[in-house]
Amino acid sequence: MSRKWFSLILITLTVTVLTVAMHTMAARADPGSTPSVVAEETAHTRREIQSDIDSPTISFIDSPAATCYRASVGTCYIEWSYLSVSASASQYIISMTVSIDNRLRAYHSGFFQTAMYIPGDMYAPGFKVACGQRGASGIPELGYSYNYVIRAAETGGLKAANYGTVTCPADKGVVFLPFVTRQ
Amino acid sequence: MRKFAIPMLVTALLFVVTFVVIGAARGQMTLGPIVLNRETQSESVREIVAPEASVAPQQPNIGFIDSPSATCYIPDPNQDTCYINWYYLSVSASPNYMITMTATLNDFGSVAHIQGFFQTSMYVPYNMLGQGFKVPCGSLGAGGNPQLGNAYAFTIRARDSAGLSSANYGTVYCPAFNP
Repeated sequence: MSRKWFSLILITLTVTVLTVAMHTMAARADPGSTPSVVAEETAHTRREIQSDIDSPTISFIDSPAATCYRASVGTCYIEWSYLSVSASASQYIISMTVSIDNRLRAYHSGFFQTAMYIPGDMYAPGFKVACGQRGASGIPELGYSYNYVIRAAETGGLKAANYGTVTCPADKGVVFLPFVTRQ
Repeated sequence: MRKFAIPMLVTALLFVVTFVVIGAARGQMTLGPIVLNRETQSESVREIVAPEASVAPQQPNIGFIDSPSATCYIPDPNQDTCYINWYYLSVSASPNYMITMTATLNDFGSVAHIQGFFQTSMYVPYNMLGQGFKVPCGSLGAGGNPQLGNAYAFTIRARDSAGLSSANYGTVYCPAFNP
């Protein structure tokens, strides 16, 4: 009797071990498990496309002319000329987001659209930030630097992202007092 | 007499069944608005509706409304104030005239009303809506997404001179106000 039970347990164990081994081998052989990334880099910027397939077709995000301008003492605004991205064939853009210094500042929802184009003045006057004193970011004559990330996602599961830095003009702290004439 | 009774009874029964079937068939014809075309993508829905089945054309002239890039942004991160806007709103009903187009934020009611003037299409760019529609951004997770703030459902409706209407239903999420 005990030999019978021993044989049964041995067979069950063998089958279990073989099943686990087969699953492990199948998982290793699966090429979809490692996402592919296409990226381009310059000194302070990086743009990339992430996908689970070998040939991603979502476009890079276009975000030219990242600008920071000083509108008044202590107040700067960040904006871009435009933001633009296109989905791969027969897919829709789900969303595009803008983050500045890890704070989400804009969320764009796609609505049955294969591409998304956001003109710069749609955010007018721009995203308000502090300008910072001279050399605040290590660059003389300039103020704070801000890191931004622009992300886009489409219905096919592909994603694109732009990473960059924009530096603001320094705050010179010039305040114009009202001119009062003596009576 | 008995000879006639059974055929008469069968005939009466047939009449009753016929009228019941006709009644059921007529009951299936919708008297209210009828949806001619409808598409869904995640939380977004767009449709074209006729006021009743009798005026519903095979091929409606009014098209789906284009309302791309529903946007919510927070200009100043120290204030709980966001603005909602669309890149543009556009619809065409040629050769019929466009009568109206209305943008509604479901929590606030109608926020824009555009009236046609002998025009077969209507195009409203984002800068016609000023900076956009001012709304509270909300705290993290307020709209159901843990990384975003409030969610606002919107409806955009357009109506043409043939009585057909087109509508977009969607949701726009705002960045969270995180002081």
